[in-house]
Amino acid sequence: MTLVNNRTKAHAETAGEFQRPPRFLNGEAFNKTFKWLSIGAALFILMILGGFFVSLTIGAWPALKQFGIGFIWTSAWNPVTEKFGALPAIAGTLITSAIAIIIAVPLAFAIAVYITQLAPKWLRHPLGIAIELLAAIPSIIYGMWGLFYFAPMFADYVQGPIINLFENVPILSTIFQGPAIGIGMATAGIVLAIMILPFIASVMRDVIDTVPKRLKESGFAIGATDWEVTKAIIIPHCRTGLAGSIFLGLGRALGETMAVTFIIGNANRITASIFAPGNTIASTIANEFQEAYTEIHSSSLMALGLLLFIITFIVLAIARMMLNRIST
Amino acid sequence: MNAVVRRRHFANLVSRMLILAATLFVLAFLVWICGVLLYEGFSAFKPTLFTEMTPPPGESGGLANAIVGSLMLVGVAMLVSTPIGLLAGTYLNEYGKGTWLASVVRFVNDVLLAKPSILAGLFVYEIIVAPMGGFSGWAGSAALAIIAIPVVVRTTEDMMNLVPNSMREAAYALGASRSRVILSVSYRAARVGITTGVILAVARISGETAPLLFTSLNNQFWSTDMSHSIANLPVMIFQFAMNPYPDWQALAWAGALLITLTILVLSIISRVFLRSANSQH
Amino acid sequence: MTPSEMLNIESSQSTLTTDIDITVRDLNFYYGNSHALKNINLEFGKKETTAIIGPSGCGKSTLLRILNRIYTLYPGQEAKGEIIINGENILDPKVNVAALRAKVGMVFQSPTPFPMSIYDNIAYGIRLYEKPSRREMDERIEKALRGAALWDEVKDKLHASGQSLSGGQQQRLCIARTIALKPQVLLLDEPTSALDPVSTTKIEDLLDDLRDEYTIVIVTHNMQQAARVSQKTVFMYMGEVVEVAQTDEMFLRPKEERTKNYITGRFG
Repeated sequence: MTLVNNRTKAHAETAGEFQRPPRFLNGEAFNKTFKWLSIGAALFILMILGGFFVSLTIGAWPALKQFGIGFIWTSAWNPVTEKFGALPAIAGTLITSAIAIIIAVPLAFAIAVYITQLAPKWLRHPLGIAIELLAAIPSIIYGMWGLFYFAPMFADYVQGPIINLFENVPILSTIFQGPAIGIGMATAGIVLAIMILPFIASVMRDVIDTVPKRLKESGFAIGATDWEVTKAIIIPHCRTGLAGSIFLGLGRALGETMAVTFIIGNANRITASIFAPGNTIASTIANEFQEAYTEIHSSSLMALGLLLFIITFIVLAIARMMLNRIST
Repeated sequence: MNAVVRRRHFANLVSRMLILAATLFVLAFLVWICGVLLYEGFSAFKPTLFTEMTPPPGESGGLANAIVGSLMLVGVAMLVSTPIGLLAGTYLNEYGKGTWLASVVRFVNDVLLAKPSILAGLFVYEIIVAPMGGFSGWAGSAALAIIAIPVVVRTTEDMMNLVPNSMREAAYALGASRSRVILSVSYRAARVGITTGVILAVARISGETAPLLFTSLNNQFWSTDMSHSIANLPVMIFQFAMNPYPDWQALAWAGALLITLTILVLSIISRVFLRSANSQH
Repeated sequence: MTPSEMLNIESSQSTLTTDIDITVRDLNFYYGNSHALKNINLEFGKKETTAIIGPSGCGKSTLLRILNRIYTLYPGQEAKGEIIINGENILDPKVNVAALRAKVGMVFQSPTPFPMSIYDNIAYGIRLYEKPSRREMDERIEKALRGAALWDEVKDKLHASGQSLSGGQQQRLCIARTIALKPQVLLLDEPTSALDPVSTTKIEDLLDDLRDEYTIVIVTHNMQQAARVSQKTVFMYMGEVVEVAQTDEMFLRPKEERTKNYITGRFG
């Protein structure tokens, strides 16, 4: 091996102490600045959350002062008489989200199981990508489709027959009360379900993917069928993660604005019929915000926002805790 | 086959069929939605979309001002959120690992990632629109930035986490300072992944409508003045779709298709990027 | 002090004639609560190659990682005692670790080229401290690559990615990157354990050439390698230095029973 002659003086400058002055970008001043910038950015994340809470509370203050805690269970919402209560919006939010979750969860789980366990190998990856891409479609598209395509069809082929079917059945006749106009809480719930489906399904797929291979294999090794492995190994193993993905989906359904605003019918009253028009917290805010001319009206809308903030924070915090537990 | 085994296999068969049926059922809906979007969108599609302004009712027009406005809103939002998200992600992976503060920030960021976007609109309304006395493009960008930041934070942290520690040690062993190691080694090694995060954030905010309703609102006219309300695709789609004029509804569909295609292209690009980022390590 | 430790000092005093470059005094090291290194006393001669051998987990890499204080990157690790280089105790918190690391270079177990070109991999370290002119930089880089016996293989593709090189070339690139800073000491932490035999031979030849220029400390689990490249060998076991001797002495006539057992392959 040939080595170079100029190696001999390679060491001329190395004697001396550890004081070679670093250049600016490697210097202590820059090092400190960069560190504090990073910490500052991290604290900024906390400030955003704090900012949500503080600003919404300030905005909601006049309404909270006037109506007190009773705001939550008052059902009046009347801009003319300036009486505002959140109950219709809360009820609408809970009903539509409940419908969405009841429909979406079993279907999303089926899709996740299909993609991870049953689909032919070549189909799994593309199908997973397709589901993820669908989850990225903006919600306003779901709203437009719901308004122009789904609602009319739903009125003619589903609502009408169901109303007629249960006409004379007590209770059910109240829950499924006409007219079949297509828009209303049931429609909103179904469109929400379809919108959050790809989202929940892709989170569930990721959760199921965390099941160790050897666990599943040991199930198959004793002759269990796909379904038995799913039931006895996958579901118990991912219970928390699956619950977490449901809560994550719920968080999305509760606060979804555009998909709902198109089709809920914008009616601030509470009815027993899920076919009736209603309003959710988010759709009330979206519909009325620009027309809120009195301070108490816009403040009441802010109070609705504050409620939504608190509810979704709790739901999402639960979701996160459940999902983090499986990843560690 | 005895009775027990027969019953088990029957149960398996039934569950398989149900799962398959459920999957097909959902896919049918999703195909329906995409089909409607493509059909309506392409029927309304014309080259003048990109050159003409949004029209008054009953006249024909395009989306030029809304497209430009959207680009500006998203562009400014990303200019703000990229450095903040990058630095916060850097803190989580490089400085704060294992600390109490980092776990709190990570948790809060994950919650923000899923927070209803309408809240970002209300927040910015309170802190910018109300004090400044009017809707503005700046406020719209601020609301979008608040939604984009958590996306950038999350991907930055995940991607920097993939950078092998041995590479950082090697840079430290040359006498590099921590900030220098991060800037020239960690960022460089994670650059593809970090870029993906920014693309994902763009995809995430381009279709956001609710936060813009309370911040930038909309504008029928040509405007590039960020200190006033500014035209943008999502709010335009919302307003035009809710109106009975067929011309407006057609424009709304064209805009919806435009946004969705943009988002799909961005998502696919980020996927390709991500694959190459993962294969590097 | 245990008898074996007395013996170490004796043997090192009797056999070493070179100048001392690094002096380790009463060094103790803790990972949280575990006491990883116990009362280490050692001297490393100037422009001499010292090999540290011992079974895995004996603390040999830990010792190496104290010499450039890279361990301070991780919380919960603590070193007590003194390590004197050029008259300064480098464990003193006041020491500028960046400058220390520029002077005490390190090469790791698996090659760690940065995600940049071959040229920039080497320029990176130089630019941390200096801003040489374009020509000067080119010269420094050529010199470093020649010094690491890599120049002939890469001179036509200096702007190709450092990660596109073969494993052995990557490791020599890492050595070039380190010597470009004109260090005084080179620390090598099992530098060939991830390489094939041919690349290993090349690195060993290179170490032989570098010996006249640098104080080299190499950790290795491969006793043939220790025998081939070092003049002095340190045998460590369970966080203690068991024996220090001239390399041929140690392999021919180990004084300690544990050394003999290890060298003859009875354990480890």
